[in-house]
Amino acid sequence: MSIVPVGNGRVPFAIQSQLAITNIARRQKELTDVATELSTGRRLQLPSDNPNDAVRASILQLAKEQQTQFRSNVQQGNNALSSVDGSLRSFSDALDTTKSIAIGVVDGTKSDADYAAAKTQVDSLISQLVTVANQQYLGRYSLAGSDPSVAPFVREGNDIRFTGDSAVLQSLQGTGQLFPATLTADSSIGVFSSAGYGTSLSPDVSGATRLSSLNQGKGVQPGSLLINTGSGPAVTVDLSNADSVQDVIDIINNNGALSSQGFTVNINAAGNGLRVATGPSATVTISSLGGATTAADLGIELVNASVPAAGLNLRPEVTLDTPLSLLNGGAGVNTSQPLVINNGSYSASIDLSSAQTVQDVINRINAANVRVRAELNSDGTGINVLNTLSGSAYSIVENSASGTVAQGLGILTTNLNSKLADFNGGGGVSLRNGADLRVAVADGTSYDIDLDGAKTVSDVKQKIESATGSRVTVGINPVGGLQIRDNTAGASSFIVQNIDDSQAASGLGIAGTTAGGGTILGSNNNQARVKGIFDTLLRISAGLGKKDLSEVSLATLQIDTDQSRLLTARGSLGAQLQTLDQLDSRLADELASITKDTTQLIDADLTETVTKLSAQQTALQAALASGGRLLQGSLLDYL
Amino acid sequence: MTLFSSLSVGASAINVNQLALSVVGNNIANAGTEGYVREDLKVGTLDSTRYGTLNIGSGATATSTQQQIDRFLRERSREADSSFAAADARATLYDRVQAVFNELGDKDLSSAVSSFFSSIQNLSNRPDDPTLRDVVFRKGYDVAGQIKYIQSRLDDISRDISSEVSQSAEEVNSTLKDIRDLNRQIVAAEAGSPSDAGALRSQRDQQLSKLSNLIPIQARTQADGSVNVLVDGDFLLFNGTIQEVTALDESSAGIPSKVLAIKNSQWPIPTDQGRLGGIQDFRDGDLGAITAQINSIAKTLIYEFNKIHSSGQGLEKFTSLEGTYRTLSASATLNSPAAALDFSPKNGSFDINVTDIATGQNRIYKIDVDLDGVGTDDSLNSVINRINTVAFGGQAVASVTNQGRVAFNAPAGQSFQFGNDTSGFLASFGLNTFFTGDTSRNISLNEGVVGDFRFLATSQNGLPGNNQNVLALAQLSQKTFAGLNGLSIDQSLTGIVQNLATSGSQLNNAKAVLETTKDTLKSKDLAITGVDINEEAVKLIKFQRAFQASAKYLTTINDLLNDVINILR
Repeated sequence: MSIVPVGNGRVPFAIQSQLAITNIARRQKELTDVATELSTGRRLQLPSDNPNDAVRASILQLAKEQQTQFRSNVQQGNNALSSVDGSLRSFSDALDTTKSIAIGVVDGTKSDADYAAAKTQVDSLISQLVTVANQQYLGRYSLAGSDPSVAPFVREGNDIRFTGDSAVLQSLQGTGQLFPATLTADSSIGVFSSAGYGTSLSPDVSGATRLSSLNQGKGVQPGSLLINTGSGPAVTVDLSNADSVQDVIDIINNNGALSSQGFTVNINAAGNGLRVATGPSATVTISSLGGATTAADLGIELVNASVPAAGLNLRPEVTLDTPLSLLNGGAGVNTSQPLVINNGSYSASIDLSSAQTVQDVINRINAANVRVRAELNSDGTGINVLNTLSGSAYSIVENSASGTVAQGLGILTTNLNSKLADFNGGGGVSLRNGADLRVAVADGTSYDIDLDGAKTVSDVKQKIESATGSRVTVGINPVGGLQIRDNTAGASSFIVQNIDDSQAASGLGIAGTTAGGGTILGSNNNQARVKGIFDTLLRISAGLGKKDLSEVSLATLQIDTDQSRLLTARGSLGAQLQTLDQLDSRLADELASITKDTTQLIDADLTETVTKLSAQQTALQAALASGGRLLQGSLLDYL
Repeated sequence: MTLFSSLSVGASAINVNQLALSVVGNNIANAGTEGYVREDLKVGTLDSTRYGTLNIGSGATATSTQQQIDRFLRERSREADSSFAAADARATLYDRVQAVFNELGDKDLSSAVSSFFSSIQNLSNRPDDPTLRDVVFRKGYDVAGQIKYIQSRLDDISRDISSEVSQSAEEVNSTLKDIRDLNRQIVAAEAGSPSDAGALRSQRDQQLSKLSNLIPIQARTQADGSVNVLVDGDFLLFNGTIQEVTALDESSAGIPSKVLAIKNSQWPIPTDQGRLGGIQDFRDGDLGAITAQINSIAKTLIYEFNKIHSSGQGLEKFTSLEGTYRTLSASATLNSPAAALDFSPKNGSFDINVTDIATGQNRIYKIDVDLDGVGTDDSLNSVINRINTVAFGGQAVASVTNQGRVAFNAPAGQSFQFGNDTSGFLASFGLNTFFTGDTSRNISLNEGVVGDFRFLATSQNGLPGNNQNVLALAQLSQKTFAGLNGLSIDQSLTGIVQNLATSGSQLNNAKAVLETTKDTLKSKDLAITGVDINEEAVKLIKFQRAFQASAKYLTTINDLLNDVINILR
C-alpha cells in the first residue's frame, strides 16, 4: 500500500477527505482480499499475486498431473503382468503333471488302457492350457502381441496354432522412460520354432536407400559437412534436408563450389557405401560441423585422405522395400526356382520369380497359408520365417538341389547356424568320447573325426574340413539337411559312417556311400519344430496315442527345457513386478511431496488467514473511526 | 481631511471587508467542490491625501480576486494522473487476461493439455480400447475448445479496447470543444480585469484533467488566460482552433483494431500516457505478445501432432479420404510461397500401405517428396502423379480437388493407410490428421478422420495392439520445437503463466509507484488549492471584526458629525 506524504503546510479539508477515503478504500480492499482467500481456500488468486510462487505452483501442478499418469501406467502394467504370472503358474503345474504322467508310462509295462488314460489326461491338460493361454485381462488377450482382440491360440486338428506375435507393449513410467507392460508368448510358453531365424542378408545401398536405414537403422545425424579438397576454399554443404542416399549425392554434386573443384560423390564400387573423388587425385578432408556425426555416419569422414576413396560400409537395414537385387552384397537372389515349405500337413511350393522386393517375398510366403510367419527380423538384418504350428515339424528347402532362392533369402531351416541339439526331434546328435564318424574318400584315405564340442552345423563343418584338410567339405543340402562332398579322385567309394556306438553320422543325416567319390546328399534330420510347451505336450499326447515310447521319452526331455524357459520368464516377470511395485511406491511418495509443496504455495493457511482477517477488520474500524473524527472537527465548532 | 472624507474611508473599509467576507463565504461554500481552487481577495490602500505636511490615507480597496494555485505543480499533477491512468488501465486489463487463463485453477489450458496427453498415455496402455479412444477424442476437443475460448476472450478484450478507443475519440473532441468554449468565457470574463475567473478556470481545469486522463497532453496557458492544448508537440487546441482526433482502422494481432490519431494528419496519438494510451499500448504490446504465444502453441500442437498422427494407422483402413488443408497452386513447388500452404512439407518421403480387402494382404509403397532444392522440386501435381503411378498402377486414385485439397478414392476391393512420413506432406495437406486449422482461432478436430474413433492412429505397423504411434504422440508435449523458441509445449504453457505472473506483477508495481506519485502531487496541489475550513474560519473572524470596526468607525464619525451639527443649534 502506498503512503502519501502530507506536507508540513496547509492541510485543507480536501486533503483530509481524500486521505480518509483512500485509507478506508484500501483497508476495505485488503479485507476483501483476505475474505476471498478465506472463501476460496487459496492464497493466490492470480499469478501476479506472487509470480515466483505462481510459476513454481504451475510447474508443480504439471508435474503432479504427469506423475499421476505415470503412476497409473505403472499400476496398469503391474496389474496386466500380474494376471500373466497367474497363467504361467498354471503352465508350470501342467508341465509337472505331464512329466509325472509320461514317466509313469515309459517303463513299457503299461497296458493299452493305461496309455489311453494317460493320453486323455494329457489332452485334458492341453485343452485347459489353451484356455489359460487365451486368458484375457480387461477384454484383451494378454499373450497375443500386436492384436490383442483375437485369441492367439487356436486348435487346428491335432495341432495348436499361434496367431499372435512377439510384440511387447511398452508403457511410460517417466519422461522418455518405457517399461514392458506385457510378456511375449514365445519368451514364456514358447510358440515359434528356433529354426527359421534368417541369416544376415547384407544389402547394398542404392540411391533410394533412406538415410534412416543406414548403420543398421541408427541412421545419419542431420547436419552439414565441411569439405576441403585442397584446391579451393573449404566448402560447407548442408545435408539436413537429405532423406535418401541419392539426396546426399545430388546435394553434394550440385554444389557449385565443389563442382568447380572437381569434387564428386557417388556409390562405391562395392555398392555398400559412398565414394568420393576429385578430378585430379588429391587429399581431401571431410568433417562434420557443429559436433554432429554426419560425415562419419555417411562413412566419408576423411582427414587428408587420398582420393578417389571408397567410403565405409553403410550397413543398411533390410527393409520391406529393399530390392532383392541389393541383397547378399549386391549379388541378389536367384528366384528362378520356387522354395518349398513343409509344415505338418501343410506344404507349399512358393514361386518368387516375380518378386522384386523383400516385401514381395514376405507377402507371398504369408499368403501361402502354411502356418508360418514371415517378417523382417528385429535387427533389420534379414527375414524370419517361423513355424507357428505346435505339434508339427517343418522345413524350408529349395525346390531342387540346384535351387538357391531359400539360401539367398537366408531362410533355409537348416543352415550353418542350426543347432545340433535341435536335430532328430530335439534329441540332438549323439556323440561319444573319441572319434565319432569315419569318412573314407575316393583316393582310399580314411579319416576318423572327433566331433566333441560341436554345437552347430558350422562346428561340424569346421571339424570335418579341418580333419580332412578340406579334402572333404560339408555344406547345406538345398533340399534339406546337410551334404558332404568328397573332393578327392580315385576308385574307392566315398563312405560316411558312424564309429562303433556313435550315432553322429546317422544323426547328422550324412551316413551313406557313393561309388567313386562325389557328394552324399544327407537326409533332413533337422525337422524344425516349435520350441514350446504346447509342442511338447502335443508330442507326448501323440506318442501316447501311438504307444511310441521313444517319442514320449524324447518329448519328455523337452519338459525340462520348457520349465527352464518358463522359470526364466516368471523370474523376469517377478523382478519386473517388483520393480513396478517399487516404482509405484516411489511415485506415490513423489506425488505426496509435490502435493504438499503445491498446497504450501497456493492454498491458504486458514489460521493465518483468519488472523489476517481479524487484523484487517480492526484496521478498517480504525480507519473509519479516525476518518470520521478527522472530518468532524473544525474551528467553527468553537465559535 | 474632513469628516466627510473620514466617512469615505469608513465606507471603503466596510466595502472591502464585505467583499472579503463574500470571498471567504464562497471558499467555504466550495470546500467540498471537486476541483475547486480557493480564492483570495487582494486588497490595496487608496491613495493618501496631503494635509499640510501630512499624508493621510484614504481607505482600502479590493484590487482583485485570485485563485491560489501553483500552475506548474498542477501541470505535473495532471501528467502524473495521465501516467497513472495508463498504468491502471494496463494493470486492469492484465488482470482480465489472467482471469481468462485462470492458470492457477484446475480448468485452465495447461490442465486441459496435460489431461489430453494423459488420456493419450492411457490409450497407449490399451491402444485398441474404443472407450479410451473416445476419451482422447473428447480431450482433444477440450484442448481445441480451451485454446479457441482463450483466443476469443483475448480477441474480445482487443475488440473492447478498440470500441473504447472509438467512443473515446468523440469524448476527446467534445472535451476539447468544452475547453475552447471555457477559454472564450475566461478571456471575456478576465478582459481588463486583474481578477481570475475562478469558477470558469476551475471548470476548465476539470476538463483538462479529464482530457489528460485519456491522452497525454500538455496545457500551455496564454497571457489572455486561455490555454492551448498539445499532444507530442502537435496542437489539439490552438487559439480557439481544434484539431479533432479520430479512431483509425488498423489490425492488431490478426483482428481489426482502432488506433487513436489526429484526424487531419492521421498521426497516432502517443500511447505512453493516458487511459487510451494505456489500453492501446496493452493491446498492441502485451495482448499481442500473449496472442502470439498462444498462437505459437496452437500452431505447433496442430502441426507436430498431425505429423505423428498422419504417419500412424488406426484400427480401420481408408477407402476414401480428403485432406483438410489446401494449396493455392497445385503446380507450384510445394514449399514455395505460391503453394501457400499453412504448413510446408520438406524433402523426404512417406509410405502408402495398400490392402487387398479380400485377402487382407498389404503392400507398402514409398512415395518420395523431392524438395531437396536440386533440379526440379515436387509440386502437388507431381506427387499426386507419383502416388498414382507407384502405389495404384497408374489409376487416378489420388487427385486434387477444385479447392486445392488432396483426395483419395481407392479402387474397389482396396483400402489404404499411411506411414513413415519424413516429409510432412501428409500433415501439410491434412491427410490422416487429428487437428484441423492453423491458428489458435480455428484449431479444431478432423471430424472426417478421428470423428470415428477407429481412425485414431495409434499403431506404426497397422496392428491394433501396436502402440508405437500413440506413445510418440504421448511424448510430444515434452519435445522441444524451434517454433516455440526451443521450448516444449509444456514449457511454453508454463511460460505463459510465468509471463502473466511476472508482467502482471510488474504492472501492478509500476501502477503502485505511479499512484504514489500521483497522490503525492495531488496532495501538494490540494495543499495549495484546497479550502481549509479552519483557515477560512479565521479569515471569517478577521474580516468580521474588521467589518465591525469599520462600522464602529463610521458610527464614531457619524457621532462627530452630529456633534458638529449640534454646535450649530
